[in-house]
Amino acid sequence: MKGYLFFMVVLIITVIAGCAKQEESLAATNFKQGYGELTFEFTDRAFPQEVYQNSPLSFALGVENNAAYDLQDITINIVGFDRSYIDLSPSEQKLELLEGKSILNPRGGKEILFFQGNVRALLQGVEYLPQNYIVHAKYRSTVEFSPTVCLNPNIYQVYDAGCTMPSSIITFNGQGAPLSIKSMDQITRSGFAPEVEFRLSLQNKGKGELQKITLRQARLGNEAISCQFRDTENKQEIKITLDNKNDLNIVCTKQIEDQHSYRTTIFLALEYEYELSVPRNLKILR
Amino acid sequence: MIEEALKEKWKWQGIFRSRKSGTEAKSESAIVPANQEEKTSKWRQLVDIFHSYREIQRAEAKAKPQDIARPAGREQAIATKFAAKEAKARAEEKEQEREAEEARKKDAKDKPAQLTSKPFILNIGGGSSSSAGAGSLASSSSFSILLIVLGMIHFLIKVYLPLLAPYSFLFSVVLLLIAGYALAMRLEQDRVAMLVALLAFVVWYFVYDSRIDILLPLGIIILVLSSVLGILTKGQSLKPELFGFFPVLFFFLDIGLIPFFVERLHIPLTTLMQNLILFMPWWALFGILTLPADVGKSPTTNLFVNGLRVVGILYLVFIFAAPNFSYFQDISLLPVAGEIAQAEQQVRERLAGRENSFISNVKCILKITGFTPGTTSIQQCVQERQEMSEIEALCKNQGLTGQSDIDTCVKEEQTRRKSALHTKGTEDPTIRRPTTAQFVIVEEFFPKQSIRPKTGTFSITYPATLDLQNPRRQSINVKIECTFKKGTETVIGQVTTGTEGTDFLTVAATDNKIPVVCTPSTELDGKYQLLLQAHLSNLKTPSYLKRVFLGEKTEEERSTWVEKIRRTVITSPQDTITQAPAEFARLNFAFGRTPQDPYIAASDPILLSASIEDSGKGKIERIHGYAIQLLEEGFSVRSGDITCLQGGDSEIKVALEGSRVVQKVYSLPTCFLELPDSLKVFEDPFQVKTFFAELRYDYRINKEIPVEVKVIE
Repeated sequence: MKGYLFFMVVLIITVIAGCAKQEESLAATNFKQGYGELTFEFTDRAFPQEVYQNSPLSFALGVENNAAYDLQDITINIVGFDRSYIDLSPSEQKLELLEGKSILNPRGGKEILFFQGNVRALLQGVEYLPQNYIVHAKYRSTVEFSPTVCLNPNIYQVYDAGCTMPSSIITFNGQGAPLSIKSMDQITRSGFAPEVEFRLSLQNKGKGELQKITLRQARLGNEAISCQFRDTENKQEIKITLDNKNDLNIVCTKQIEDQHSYRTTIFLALEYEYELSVPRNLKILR
Repeated sequence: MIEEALKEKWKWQGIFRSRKSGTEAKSESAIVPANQEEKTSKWRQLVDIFHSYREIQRAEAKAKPQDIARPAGREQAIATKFAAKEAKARAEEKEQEREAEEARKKDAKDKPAQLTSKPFILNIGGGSSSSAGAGSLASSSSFSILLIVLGMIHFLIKVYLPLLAPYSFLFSVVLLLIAGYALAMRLEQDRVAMLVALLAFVVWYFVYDSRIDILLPLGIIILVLSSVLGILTKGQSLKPELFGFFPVLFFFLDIGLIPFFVERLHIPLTTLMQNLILFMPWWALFGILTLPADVGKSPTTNLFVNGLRVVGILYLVFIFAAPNFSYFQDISLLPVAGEIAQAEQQVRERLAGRENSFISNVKCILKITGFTPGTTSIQQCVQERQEMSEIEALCKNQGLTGQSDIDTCVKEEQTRRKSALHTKGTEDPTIRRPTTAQFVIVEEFFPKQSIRPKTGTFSITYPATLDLQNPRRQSINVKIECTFKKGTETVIGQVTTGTEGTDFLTVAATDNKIPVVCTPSTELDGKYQLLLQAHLSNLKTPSYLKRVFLGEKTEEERSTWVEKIRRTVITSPQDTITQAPAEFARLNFAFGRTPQDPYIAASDPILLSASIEDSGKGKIERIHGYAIQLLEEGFSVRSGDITCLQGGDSEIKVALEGSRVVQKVYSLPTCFLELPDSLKVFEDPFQVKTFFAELRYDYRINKEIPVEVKVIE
């Protein structure tokens, strides 16, 4: 029993002490995977949870970009404070650009934003006043999707020595942004004018909300490919609503001119608007 | 060895032959064992010899198979007989060993032996304990009983001694350790392995301050660690580790898991949650569930223990079956921010006085089965009982002692709660010390019954204290009167107060205890109702209302933001109605697309409605004025009565003295408002603002006390 306990303690210490990141070769790191996004850093001392009445108020908010793409036109608001008790001025700050993770900047861009204000007096007899508020961010960014695909106009050709088409839907683990292309289904229509169709399913994997997605670029190899969102008026753009937020699909079609199978790359660049809201609370003390 | 075996064989062959022939073998007496022990040993030897004999036979058969012509039946019978006797001897030996073992254990007070390993929750009266002895069972159950007793003490301290609330956390930690030990003993699990779960929880709670974001990575580490240990111990450690989470769960429930969820995860507090906070002695319940099936040899004790277990489970069922309590209207009672235990204590204070829903359910079931008229369903009955208990507690907390006083208070409160309010309002829980006033009498010194001589003057005086709490240091004028009523007869009393000796004074201190002496102007004879009245004038009660301004938004944007704000900022419906300190009266007001809708977009029409509510136990005598401070915030009246925002005496008619009308709500004029530009267009996605109002009024509080004066010759 003593040996068992000793072993457990040693193991716990080893696990906790061993939580160190191994350095890996940056050149080999693919940043464009996963679901990185904008995150906030709330340090207790810099982001207080209790303040006294009739005192100044100061927040230092850390904003970090964990996505693999630059974020643009970032607007950060601290909203929800009762204006009768807390006067935060300004309550909004903007950043033009926050770099994404890359070889040159493996940790991603980070900024510290300062918000200052004043806490007014509480009503007589009120001993404390809880305040719920939100740290809200709105930004614009892009995501790129470029897997290698196999095109085969003659799917029933037995003696084709080229590549093999996937037999089922391919799933992906993110492209380094909260907007992720979840899966791709490839359908080839053989015949006189063979055509390939890619059905891409998009998903919001971040903690915020997608507002709008715009298709900026779509290529198959060196050539443009026709892609559009389903069920939208403007096929190149989609506004996210409660009805469609779980059903985002892009359909891309192109005629295949080659007779034999070959590998190429499909490339999509999507621009999206994103909003992130993190709830917090503050207590005003007498 | 074979030779010896052969010799022995012949010897016993001789014995059997001689027995058969009726003669006694010469050496038989030497061979037959003297006592049982020797006999047992001897039989064993014989079996060994027989086996050896069989070996000899086989050997012989190999050498001379044709010579083996002995009938096997006889040897078989002997072997069977020997084997049966051997088995019996071994059984007797085992019995002796077991008895010796039990005696050893009893003497040495050994560690508890293994108990039954059935699931402890389900093992209600079923399954017998192992044969480990009453001593080990008793020591196992002693921890459970200790847990029950300490758990009940801990629960009672939390409920009735809120001053000791800071220590309840430490108490709970101690109970956690006892619970872990009790569970390990009960389930025959490795105590050390069970500590893994406890250790994991302690690390998360104390080192990482119960952060939710740490939960997942720490959970993964613990899972990996457990898996490794499980592999090393061939799965033996997994079960105790899992069981170790039971005491952790109860610990977390006890110290305030529910307020934690409401505070951190914004889960609304429903009636069920309220009952779980108030009425669940978690550790005592854990102790009940860990009691063994058979505590001792006495069937009465076992029956009692199993009965306790059944009661514990039924308690849980009734608690979960508590119906919605309509007074709270399914609103979220979001506890204030702060420590978990403090949040629970505050919720407990807010909900104190309500009858235990288990007791309500039991009494209502008994009532239903007795076909008491007027009660049609258990749910209705429980709701009524809960409301009544809360009202009774409220009245008792007012310092009322006589049953008639309490009954009057209860009736008034019931009427108040049932009356329809034009605009809703609620008490602000953050104001712990509102302005209050009440008459207090000391029973020992109050002459409820007195005797006076028929002739001569004899003055009886009736002392009381007017306890006036004035935390906002208002300048309040107080006039005190007293009268004695017997039927249609009224005797005016003369009131003297404090050192000034008058019945009128002005107070401005926070804590005022004004001594009052009432002397009847004429001599009393018989039973009277002494009516003490305090007229408080120049009272001011503030009230406030929160509203959310959305700016210029489309309907879709509005819906999205309203949903987001509801989840994060305005999480409780209480936040959207008028709040005021729990004083005598308040001004309820609301404005928006509808008065109940707190979300206002730039283009919304804004309707203002307001009312004055008599929320005290006395009566509003006069309303000097009211003011809803919206004009100062830039609002203007678009259409309707201009007096919707402020007014004086002429706007409100207070029920006259003696009128049969019991008025508790006074409606005020309504109007449409215009939003100021600053609340229409702004940069932020939304803005939250509180608006204030004030009511100035006079109020009267009463206290009726029955007195009797007997006249003697």
